[in-house]
Amino acid sequence: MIDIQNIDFSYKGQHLLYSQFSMRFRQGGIYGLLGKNGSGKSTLLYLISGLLRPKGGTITLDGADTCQRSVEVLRDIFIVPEEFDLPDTTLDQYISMNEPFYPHFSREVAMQCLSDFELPADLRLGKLSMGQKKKVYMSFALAAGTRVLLMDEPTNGLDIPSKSQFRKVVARCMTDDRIIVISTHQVHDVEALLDHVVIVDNGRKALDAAVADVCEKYCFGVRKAGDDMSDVVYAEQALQGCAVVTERKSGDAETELNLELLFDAVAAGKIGMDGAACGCGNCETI
Amino acid sequence: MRNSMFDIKRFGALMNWMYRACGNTMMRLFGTCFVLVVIGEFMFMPMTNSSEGVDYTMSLFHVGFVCLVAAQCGSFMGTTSVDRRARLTMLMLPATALEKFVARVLWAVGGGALVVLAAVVAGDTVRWVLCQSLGWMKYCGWGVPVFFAQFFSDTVSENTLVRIDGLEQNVSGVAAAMTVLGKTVWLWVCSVFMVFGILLRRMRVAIAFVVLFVLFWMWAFGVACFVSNYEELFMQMLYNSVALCYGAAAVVTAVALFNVWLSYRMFCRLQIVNGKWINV
Repeated sequence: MIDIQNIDFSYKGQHLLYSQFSMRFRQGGIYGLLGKNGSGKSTLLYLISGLLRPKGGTITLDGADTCQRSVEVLRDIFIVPEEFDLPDTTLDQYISMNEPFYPHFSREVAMQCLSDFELPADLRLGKLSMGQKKKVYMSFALAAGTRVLLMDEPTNGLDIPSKSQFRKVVARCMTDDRIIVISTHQVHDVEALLDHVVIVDNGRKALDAAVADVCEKYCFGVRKAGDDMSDVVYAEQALQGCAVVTERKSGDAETELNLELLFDAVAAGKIGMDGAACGCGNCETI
Repeated sequence: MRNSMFDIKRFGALMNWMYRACGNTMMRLFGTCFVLVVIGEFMFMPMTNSSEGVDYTMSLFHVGFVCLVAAQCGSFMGTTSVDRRARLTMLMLPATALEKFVARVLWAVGGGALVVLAAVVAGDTVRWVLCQSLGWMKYCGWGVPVFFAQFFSDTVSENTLVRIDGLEQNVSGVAAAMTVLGKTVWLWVCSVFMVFGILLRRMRVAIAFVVLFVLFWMWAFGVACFVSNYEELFMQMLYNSVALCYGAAAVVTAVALFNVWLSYRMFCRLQIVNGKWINV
């Protein structure tokens, strides 16, 4: 479990980005980390991985302080940043030079992921496009066997078929002892994958809820002009009419999560952390 | 596991990782130094009249070039840490900070110095071959052997006693002591570049040069302020030159080791982003 306790953080000469921020990421969860530009999503990933030090508070992975960047912690955390460098080597050389550092690394998983991404095994990394590099990096990240996988905008630069391949690969590599945190703006690329949504805004949690609980409490749909809007929690104009979030009543069918609509509703203050307890034991309330 | 632990197997893997990650940088360093050496040598060539003169002039140029460029290789300590992407990859590698630091020192300082030496040898050899093929026999001296002889000049074995102003001095002993002092000063300069190489994100080399210049200027200014009788000081130094050189070498080595320790402490606290100028 990743336990963030009362952290304070600010970049030099800037206002406090996180103030007394606390949250927990539990094993077996795929978390979607959402927020506006500059809301601190990437910073939170860097803080979790120990690449930044909070000015106050603690961040631990199963009790070990991640800021210390001990070998045990580093073996259990892999971060896929939005931008990264791959050396100009062959894939085999790349795996050979990094594999010794990850005791649970599986070449089999790496090859399977590459195959899912429709990439051959005999690659020269320097000649790949950004999207292909991303696929290679994500394949390595998933094969590294770390218990925590942090991804910053993983679907940026991927073509349309690759986005569904990405979901397939991540879902297949997910295990009960793993925590995957995906920070993204491309909500439609990942909404079918997530089982937990965290929305950060101005250094605070605007939402921290299990997808199942959100879908149990709210319905997402479209209403036409003239329809009854009395039960609508949040609405916004859409091509088909009005995209709405409504409170789910007993007897209503469960709808699929519309992450974009949920985000907008949270950003508008219509849904937040001050609702009823979700009961998952992880998040506080929705 | 503490971050100061050292696992030799993992360290081997780290050295291999650094080789793959820094290989291109080393090649670029070699290429740049090679070109600079060839250009520099052709500029210095007209200052000599004989092939022996070329040997000596070139070897002096080589000593200056190698000392300066190899010392600033200390600033390569932070080369993989310049941009966020490269720094992230290095910091997230599951190895202790001590292992990463030692691997970095070996690659950046040790590897960098060897690459500069190799570039000097290659550059001088190419210049010598070009002079041969162009028939410029006056400039056909090969500076490399003289350069290496100068570099290891403390290997002079004979004791040569000379009398200067009534004082008997063992010239080879003084030369050996001066060489030791020279090498420790080089280590200190390299350690200053190392500190700034890790601390700063921008203009590391330029700022380190400025700091070194200011330190040397302050030292000279201090001497000028506190010494009234230069002649007496010179005689005192001459009389105690060996002891002074070794004493100064010990102090300089201690300061250099402090700088290396400081670099390690800063290396342990490297962050992914922290302002435009500072890495720590």
